[in-house]
Amino acid sequence: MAVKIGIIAEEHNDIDVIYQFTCKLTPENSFSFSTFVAHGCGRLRNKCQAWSHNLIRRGCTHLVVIHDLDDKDQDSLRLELENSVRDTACSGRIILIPVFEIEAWLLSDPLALQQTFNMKKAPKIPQNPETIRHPKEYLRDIVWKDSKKRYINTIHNKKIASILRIDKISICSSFTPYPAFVSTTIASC
Amino acid sequence: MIKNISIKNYRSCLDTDFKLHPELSVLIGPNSSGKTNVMNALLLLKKLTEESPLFYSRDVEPTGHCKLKSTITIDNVKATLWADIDTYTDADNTDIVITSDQYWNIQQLTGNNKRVKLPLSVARELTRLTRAADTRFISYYQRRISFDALEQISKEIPGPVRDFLGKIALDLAQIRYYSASQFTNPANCPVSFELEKEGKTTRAPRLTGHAKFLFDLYNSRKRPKGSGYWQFIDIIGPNGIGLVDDISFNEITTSSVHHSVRIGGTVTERRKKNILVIPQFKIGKNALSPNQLSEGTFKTITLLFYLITEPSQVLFIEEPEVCVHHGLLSSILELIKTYSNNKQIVISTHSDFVLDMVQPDNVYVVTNLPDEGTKIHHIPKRLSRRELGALREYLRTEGNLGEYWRAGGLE
Repeated sequence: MAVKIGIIAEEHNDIDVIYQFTCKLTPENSFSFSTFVAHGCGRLRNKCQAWSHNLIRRGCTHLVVIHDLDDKDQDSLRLELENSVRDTACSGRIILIPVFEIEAWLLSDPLALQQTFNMKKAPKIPQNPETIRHPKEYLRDIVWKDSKKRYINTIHNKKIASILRIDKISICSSFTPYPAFVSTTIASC
Repeated sequence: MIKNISIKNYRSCLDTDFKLHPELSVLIGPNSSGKTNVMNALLLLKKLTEESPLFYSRDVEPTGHCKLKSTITIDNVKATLWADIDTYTDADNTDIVITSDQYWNIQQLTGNNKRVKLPLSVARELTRLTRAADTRFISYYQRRISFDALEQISKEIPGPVRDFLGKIALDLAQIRYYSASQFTNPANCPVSFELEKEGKTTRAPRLTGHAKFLFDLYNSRKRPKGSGYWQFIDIIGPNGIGLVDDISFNEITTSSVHHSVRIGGTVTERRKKNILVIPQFKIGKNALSPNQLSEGTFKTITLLFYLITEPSQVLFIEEPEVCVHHGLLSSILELIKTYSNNKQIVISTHSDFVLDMVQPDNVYVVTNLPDEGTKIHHIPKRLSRRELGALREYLRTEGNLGEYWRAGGLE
């Protein structure tokens, strides 16, 4: 039986990205998503508790909360989000906090960018993309520079994520707990 | 870039000041607050470039008289315009500038505070005339500005000032206005249009609305790879938002013969070739005529086409949210935000979803009180320091700008 995972994220394209990554970690028919999109970080934090309860009522057995770190303090943000979902009756949950923005994960595989935007060669990206201060703007700039195409996160993040080699993201420390979470989640059902 | 505009006595804008955001300004406010009037007043700047007071006048009485003051910058040079404008509003509620007095202060170029009198329409013609020098078009432009007038302008206004105003005129002439109401009901869209070909010249008959869009689309596809048209195709295609897979145009050449009789009875024959252009939108296995597209799809395609391909430096968009699913709307807004880095964009909206995707610095509340008329309030200035702090804290910890607005926090 497919596992039903509840996802709470800031933007819809965050969910598209995590869906593509999950497909790379486990067969697509082994899980399904139910989602809430906050369209902003303040709303996510405010609604996280209510939404997580609702997702469990909708039949989700596991919860994933994705919240960009931006300029916030990681420990206090994680604590706040964990407190929000602590009393939800689920079998497993994970809080993912991409450093600055989720686009840092997408920068971990230059070949995926080359293929998505038909670049002549793979762009040069810093060894650890999580050190990039504004990954979304960085991605926008290299896409324009190397392909003369407009990068639009709502359009292209899903595409990049679908091509991206999952082993490449292991360089991003904020993503590394996720593969283990998926394998535990699937194994539990 | 239009830095600000002050409007007096134009529709509901009795005395309205608007300091535009350099990239993206978002106008919100109740129905009848005057958002459309503000956009129309901004459009008068474009219309000032179309008026030809020296040689062209319409046999109509003005229906309105208004005053504009606007500061415009190009290449870091600031110019301030004072304009007294007589307008005529036609049956389509479109304003036509009949006459105007326009004075400019360009201290950075003139070195003094003295105002220069030069209508934008003349500045535009002068620039075109300069650019058209030594070509066969020169006689056409010479007919529109007399040599006497040219000589007088040359004496009174220094060359750099003329050139600069010409630049402003050409920029303002390219202002583009998009409204959701322009492209309602795609069933009204023709399935083809015809071009007249005579020798090497191809002409379209006067087209408006949906047909004009199809013609613009057809024309722009001839531009080289990498140009705006191909970026547009990339964005609406399968690699982008996936609205359509491809757009194609079938061309069928037809011919016609026109006879005319001259004095004396001589009959002359003129052969013309026409091109029947049939656009098709490919979606999956289907090739659809434009009138088979859904309203939301049609509106989105037109909005994105003009957003991406138009060379204009200023774009006004009314209610981009109409008929559009919120998933697609978020992509449209991301595109608008991206392009606002390169062109100044003003949008009006009734959608809290649109507001969720912008910052308070981009938002202007439009009000219309009796006796006061339309007023525009920039959020960071409308709210007190304390209120603004409370808003920023709310956005950081509680919710979104759209719901804050809906709950009455901005108006």
